Amino acid sequence: MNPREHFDKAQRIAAGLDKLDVSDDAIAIIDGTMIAGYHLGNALLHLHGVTGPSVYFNTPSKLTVPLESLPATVKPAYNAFDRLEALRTRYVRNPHEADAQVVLDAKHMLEAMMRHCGLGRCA
Amino acid sequence: MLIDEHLARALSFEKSAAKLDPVEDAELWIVFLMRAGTGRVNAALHALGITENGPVAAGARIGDMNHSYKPSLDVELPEEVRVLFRHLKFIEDLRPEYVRGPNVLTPELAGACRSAYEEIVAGTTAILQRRKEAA
Repeated sequence: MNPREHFDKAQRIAAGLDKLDVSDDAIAIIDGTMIAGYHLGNALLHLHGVTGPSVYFNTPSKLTVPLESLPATVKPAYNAFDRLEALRTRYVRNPHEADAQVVLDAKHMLEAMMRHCGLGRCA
Repeated sequence: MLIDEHLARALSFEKSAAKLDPVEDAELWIVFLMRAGTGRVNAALHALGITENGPVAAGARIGDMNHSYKPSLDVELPEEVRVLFRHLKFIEDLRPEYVRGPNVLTPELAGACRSAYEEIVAGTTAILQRRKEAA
């Protein structure tokens, strides 16, 4: 997929997340931010020449390049993606209860990734 | 995780999926059904004693499955579990094209995904009911 296709998918997913409630759908929203993050992360990797359009990484932990060595234009978004993955590990794959603040933090991290992509909030 | 924790999470993902449109919100809808299905399958595997109910120490018996294929279960599985895994795998296999890939889910595929999920619900409910009756 090219960066534009990834961005479009991420925006579709963000629109879906807005249909959910931060209290009632906490773990679903946290999980969903990772899916949108996947598209934004790969879009940035393609845009800045780290990977070609047919190479992708599902999560920051599967990235074969150290986070520190990413271009400065990619690093802040990937740091946010890395924090989203940590939230998924804690709240989706383990039985910790996520409160509304954690969910809002996840959504803010996704919005930060979008800003780093030059998208604003679904601009 | 414990059986009740898996079931509570499955219900939570089901409720969230129900708020979405299967085609318009396919990326989230597929993943939420996969998570709910994985939770139900984990609960059934614990109930059958195939995997460990609750936290496990590193290197000990397998606790929770993340997916139908991960971690690998090196035991002979009963047919009712193989059926559950087939249905879960059907949902998981939609991800490369429709969650991570560029394709748009069709209503027909959404219906097939929903049917696979309903089979998981029916199969796991039967296993858990048997366990309850035997207790």
